Amino acid sequence: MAIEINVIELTERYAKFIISGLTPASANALRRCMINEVPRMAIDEVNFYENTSVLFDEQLALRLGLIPLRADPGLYVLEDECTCEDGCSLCQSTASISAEGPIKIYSSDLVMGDENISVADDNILIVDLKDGQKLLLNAIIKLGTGEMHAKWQNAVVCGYKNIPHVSITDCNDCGRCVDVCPRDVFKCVDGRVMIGDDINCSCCNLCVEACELDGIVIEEDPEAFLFKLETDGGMTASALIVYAVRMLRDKAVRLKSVLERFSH
Amino acid sequence: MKDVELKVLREGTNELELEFVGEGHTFMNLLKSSLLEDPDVLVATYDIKFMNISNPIMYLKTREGDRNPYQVLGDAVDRIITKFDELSAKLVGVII
Amino acid sequence: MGYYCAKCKYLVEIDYGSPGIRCNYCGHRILIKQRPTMVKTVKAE
Repeated sequence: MAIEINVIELTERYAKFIISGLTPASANALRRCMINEVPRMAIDEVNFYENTSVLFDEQLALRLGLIPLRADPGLYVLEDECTCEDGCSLCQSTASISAEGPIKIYSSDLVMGDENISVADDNILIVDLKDGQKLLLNAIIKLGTGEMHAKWQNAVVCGYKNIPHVSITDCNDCGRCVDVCPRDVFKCVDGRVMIGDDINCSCCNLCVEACELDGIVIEEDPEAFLFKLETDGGMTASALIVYAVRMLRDKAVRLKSVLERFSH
Repeated sequence: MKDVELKVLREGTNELELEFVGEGHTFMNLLKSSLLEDPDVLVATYDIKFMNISNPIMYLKTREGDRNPYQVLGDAVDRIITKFDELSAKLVGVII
Repeated sequence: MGYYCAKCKYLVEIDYGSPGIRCNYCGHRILIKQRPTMVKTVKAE
């Protein structure tokens, strides 16, 4: 079956689209890859030179780690796969903060050591320094994947469902299904019950139970998937999809070349 | 990108047991379902004994014929490659 | 590296020979250890 893609909504950080002609395993591999395996940059280690703020070093380090950074993951290499001994410009980068209160430190106050990395959101409050409190730190940014820690997770929301098809076979326009449906799939036009957007249907079967005539049938298309995807700004939603598809394909290609070596 | 590392645990004329170092459900389930599309495949399954620490072990048994299990596995991987090639071709213009 | 008094912030020299500790200036018994000057590396997780 040929693959078809229908984009319903696409913004910088959000995508909603239908892929049809995919096996359930491929759709799940794509979902898992977007959540777990596409790498990204995040602060991984923090060197504190001075910290007289109200937050402990560990708390500050966690807050820094969770700040989403915007960078192209293709420019960097995972630490384990790098040829260097202890950190080079390929596998890590730096960011620093130097401030003395009274001042509120936001994510935009991070001074990046690499022009290819920037913060996705400028207005994340890190710590509020009161009069005389000092903060001096140097953070090390590394590449990682979602399976190592959630701060390296690209897709904040990523899920799919099979496309539902609702049809009415028998109807006496009682309107019970209109009242009972939590997703407003049915609508009443001039006393006649009609199906509106059945793509919103969650297959809860409340309408099927409510119908006196057993006249509502809900079916799911096993090979069409409605994907919903949201990123935190580290990557655009479209770039993430493309990167995940390419990663899965590349893995298959590498496995193929290994298999050829084995079979001889 | 790291190479896929394979360890052959058992090898027969029409069966195969392989350990995929560093892989997880993401790729193994895809590979398994692609293998099951082949009518020559009798058994294709994998198991991750202890999550997070074990490598998946795949067991593959094929019908006796002119293709050995490696070729059957290779064809399954080819099907994945063509599927995802088609998908990335369809993404151009729609998503990008 | 020393200790400072939690009440009056006076830097206290501790006399390890005498039993008990106490601020030489105000007599308060709670002392806080100073932060070392070395770099502290923390994993961000």
